[in-house]
Amino acid sequence: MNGKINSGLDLTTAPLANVSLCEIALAKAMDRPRHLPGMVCFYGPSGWGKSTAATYVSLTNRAYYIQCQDGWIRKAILVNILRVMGIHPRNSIWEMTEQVCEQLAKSGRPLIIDELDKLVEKKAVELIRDIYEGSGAVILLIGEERLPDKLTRWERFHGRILDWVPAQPTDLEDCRHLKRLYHPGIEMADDLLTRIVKASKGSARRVCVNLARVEEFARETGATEVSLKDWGTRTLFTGDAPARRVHDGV
Amino acid sequence: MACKPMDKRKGLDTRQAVWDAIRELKTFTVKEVREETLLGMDTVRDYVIGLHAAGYIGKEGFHVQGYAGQWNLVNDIGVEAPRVRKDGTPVTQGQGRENMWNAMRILRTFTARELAVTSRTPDCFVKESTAADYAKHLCHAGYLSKRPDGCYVMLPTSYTGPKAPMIQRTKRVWDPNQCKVRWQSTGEVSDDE
Repeated sequence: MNGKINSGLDLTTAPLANVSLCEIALAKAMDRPRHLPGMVCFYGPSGWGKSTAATYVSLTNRAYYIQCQDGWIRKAILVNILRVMGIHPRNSIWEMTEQVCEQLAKSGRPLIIDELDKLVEKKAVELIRDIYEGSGAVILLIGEERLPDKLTRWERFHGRILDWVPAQPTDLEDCRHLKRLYHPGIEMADDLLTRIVKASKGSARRVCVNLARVEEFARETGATEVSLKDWGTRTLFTGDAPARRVHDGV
Repeated sequence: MACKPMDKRKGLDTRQAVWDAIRELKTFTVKEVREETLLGMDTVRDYVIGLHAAGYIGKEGFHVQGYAGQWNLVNDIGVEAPRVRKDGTPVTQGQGRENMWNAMRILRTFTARELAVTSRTPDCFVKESTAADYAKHLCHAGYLSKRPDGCYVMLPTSYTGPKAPMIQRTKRVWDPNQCKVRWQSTGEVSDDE
């Protein structure tokens, strides 16, 4: 059906454009010649599937993954990385930095820092650079669209980035694969999927919400195949707020 | 030899104990590691042979036969003990569980199907029913909470460490990071069986 997909990867998220982009960028950094920088920046709007990509590459590369929170200072970053490594943190910042660097250097495993744009403190951002300098580890930085601008503004960061990888909007091929992963029992015609892609404005999260709506419709009507004609004028989710988090059970 | 359930091993991960001792000693004999870890001969020997086959340790000086002699650590990969079998191949048991444990921390809010799909890697297939069962047990043990719409939520504070909690055959949830039983179906936590 699709030449790009082989049977082993068929039921993973690997064929999704953003997952493979992220995987290729990380692999390139891992295999780089010593004189090239080892940080990669992957950025794009919320809901475009960056975290799905991060999950896949962190599992296949055994990466240490952390997700930054608002207002994190240096200590929070270090304690969280050490927690993921299963190492008991020492007391001072420099001791913890050493612990992190040692484990990264020895294990050869990459570090993924998600939602990096939530860090505002200059010292916190400099710490990431120190970890990179001290360990030589590959670091994947993930954040929203404005992350490259921010990184450029932060002194001496820019030159250490090997690759800037913008997340791609969800296209028809991604939409087909998401359908195959999440709703394998129902056939959806390409005209309906095209409509879903258009309504979702590039957001993988909205595509998933819409695919679930179609499945619900199919279940109600007992259909196993749904085309645009069957769907008719029913609405698709186009809003900005992620549906899953909107009706929060309250 | 049958493996004891985790909570009967006094919270001891034997591979980890041997690896810690090796990293401490750098150059060692099987006897020295046994003295350090108080573990049985077979356990230490088999893991040492596996580490050698996988290239983590090398023979030092003259070796008469098999394992009796000096070894040294040649590839220190950090705190986490390599999971290798006696023939040096990686242990794959528990891979799906480990993938799910890591994936749920990244996803934070997910359904069983999303957890299954995102936990799959080319060499590890996770079924939706497996993910649903794992999430259900972790929910009992307080790692996850379930919303009325069927989504599971993981709070950052529920993450106890890199080792994935295990569902034991006795229907208990064992946390290898905290070394304790977090939940069991029969109610009371007992020490003998």
